[in-house]
Amino acid sequence: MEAGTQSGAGPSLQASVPSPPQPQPGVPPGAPPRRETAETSLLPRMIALVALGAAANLWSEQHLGLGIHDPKLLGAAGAALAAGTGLLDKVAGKAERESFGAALQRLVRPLLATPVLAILYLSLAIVAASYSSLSILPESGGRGSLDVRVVASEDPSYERRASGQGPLRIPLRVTSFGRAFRVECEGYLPRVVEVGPLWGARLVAGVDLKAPPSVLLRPSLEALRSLDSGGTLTLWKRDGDERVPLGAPVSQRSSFLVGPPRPIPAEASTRWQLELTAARLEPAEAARVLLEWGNPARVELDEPLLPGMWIEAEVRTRSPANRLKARAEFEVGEQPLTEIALPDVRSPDA
Amino acid sequence: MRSGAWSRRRAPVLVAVAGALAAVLAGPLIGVGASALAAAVRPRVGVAFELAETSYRQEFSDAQIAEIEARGTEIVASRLGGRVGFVDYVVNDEAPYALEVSLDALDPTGLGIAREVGFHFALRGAAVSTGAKTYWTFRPREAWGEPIPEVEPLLEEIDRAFTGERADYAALVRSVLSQVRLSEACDLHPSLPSGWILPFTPEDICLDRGSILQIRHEVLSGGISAGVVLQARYSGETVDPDPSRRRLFCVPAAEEDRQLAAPLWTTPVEAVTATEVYLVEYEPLDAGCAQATELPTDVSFGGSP
Repeated sequence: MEAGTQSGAGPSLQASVPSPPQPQPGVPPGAPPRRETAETSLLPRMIALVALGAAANLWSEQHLGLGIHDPKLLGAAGAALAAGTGLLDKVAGKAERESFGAALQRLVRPLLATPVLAILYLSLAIVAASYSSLSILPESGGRGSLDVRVVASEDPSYERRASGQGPLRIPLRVTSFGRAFRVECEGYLPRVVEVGPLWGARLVAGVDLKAPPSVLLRPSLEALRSLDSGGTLTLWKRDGDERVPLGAPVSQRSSFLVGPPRPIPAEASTRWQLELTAARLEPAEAARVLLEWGNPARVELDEPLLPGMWIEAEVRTRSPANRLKARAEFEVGEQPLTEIALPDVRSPDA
Repeated sequence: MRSGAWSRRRAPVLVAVAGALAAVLAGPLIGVGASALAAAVRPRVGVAFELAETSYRQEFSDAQIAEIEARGTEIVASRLGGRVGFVDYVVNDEAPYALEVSLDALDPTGLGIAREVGFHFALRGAAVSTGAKTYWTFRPREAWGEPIPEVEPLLEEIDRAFTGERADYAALVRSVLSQVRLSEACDLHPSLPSGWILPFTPEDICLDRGSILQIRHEVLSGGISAGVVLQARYSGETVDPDPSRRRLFCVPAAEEDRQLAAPLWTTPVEAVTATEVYLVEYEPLDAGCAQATELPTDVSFGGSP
């Protein structure tokens, strides 16, 4: 009430005797008035702060998967703010509103200080330039969980692993100009990808990550019989002049599929039929061989076939003879399925 | 006239009937006296088995191939000895004849991969023609894709092949073993019943009736030597109290041979010489005389010979 009295007397006094303006605290006498300066400078800072928050939210959402990105959530937050403000207007008196405003001002104002804003921006810029992420999305139609290993190309000791059913997000330390990583995802060919700051990188399994090629090994008729008699198929990888076995020998009368399962083109059967006709096989035997060639046995190797690999496939007769029966040498291509015939080898010792 | 023509037409028939009657009446011991012809020994034929089919050989090591060929030779010699007993089959020994038995494709150079595999028999030796060959099926073409067994099962399969229905011993004798000279000499018996006396007892060469022999002669006439080849059929034995001294007696096999042989019986003995005797159709004597060679103890399989 006292204040009301004073304020009630004030205007009449000011109206009757205009008093010279009183210098504000901290403002030297004679300086131009700073009225409205604080309000006019707060708005752009507020905008800058909100923009910083939005940028931080976007970065966090992109690289960490954390942030407010749901429009409903944002709408609800806005509605709650508006409702709270309206409620404050209705319920609280002027003094309470001014008190609340002052408290809010005390809380936000430090953040709006230029050095603070500058530091916040700088910090976000440093983080955004130093950390990024690699996102890997599963193949449409899904083939189970992804198991990924990411290794920095220039520093193999920097390695990150992730596995799971859904999209995988792997935070990575990068440089301002990006960093190359080798991505090894189980069931797909390894790939080197450049992960840049800000945006990171995104790979889609089956699209950006290719499944390894498959090879259908089709033994000759005599090789099939050798396999039926106890012979074995062995695959070797050519490494310079050396041969490295790619797995244990397989003993089974069959054709063989190396790599992920693939449908065999229908035209292959027609071609095989011609081959069997030329071999003058009895119809029953020819039908049996056609079925065996068309239903290959899966061969698990110690390492997947990669395009560019040189492979030797050998069928040898059973032990102790162990004679070379059929053989093929080929370079793994990028086609999804390659058919390799294993022709007979006429060894001079037999 | 009609009676004369009838007689001329029927004369050969009557001769044949008479000959056949004489042969039937002859029996095991015919009315041919004891012969002084010394007993001869059965001809020796060396047997060698070879695993020749390339795809079969590839399934075995060199040592296994050697074992299959060695034991296969013994199996072949044993089975032949049990079924074709007019020669002695020897293994790893010197013999005037060599019977090579190779397991190979029916047509090794033929087109197509699926080929029938069988036994190729070939005889080598002096005066043996290059055509002395025959073939038995081991695995028909439709069985080409079957797996190739290990050593023991393969030897069992070979053994079964020599006792199975595909084993055509008649063809083997007719095409191959008929070129093995049974004897270099035999006596002519011009008087009735006319025929030949061979230097064997039936047990010596395990011969039964129905067997047909080929006898080659050299006939000197007017200073010219001519060869006469006749076929004779085992008819019986000479009469001798000592069974070991009885000899095989043969008569002309057919009417044609009888007619061709007729001049021989009237030719002076010194002008006719039987030089070579061969067996062209063989009926084994069911008297246990054909003895299968005893297989080594490590051959644990096999049927009856």
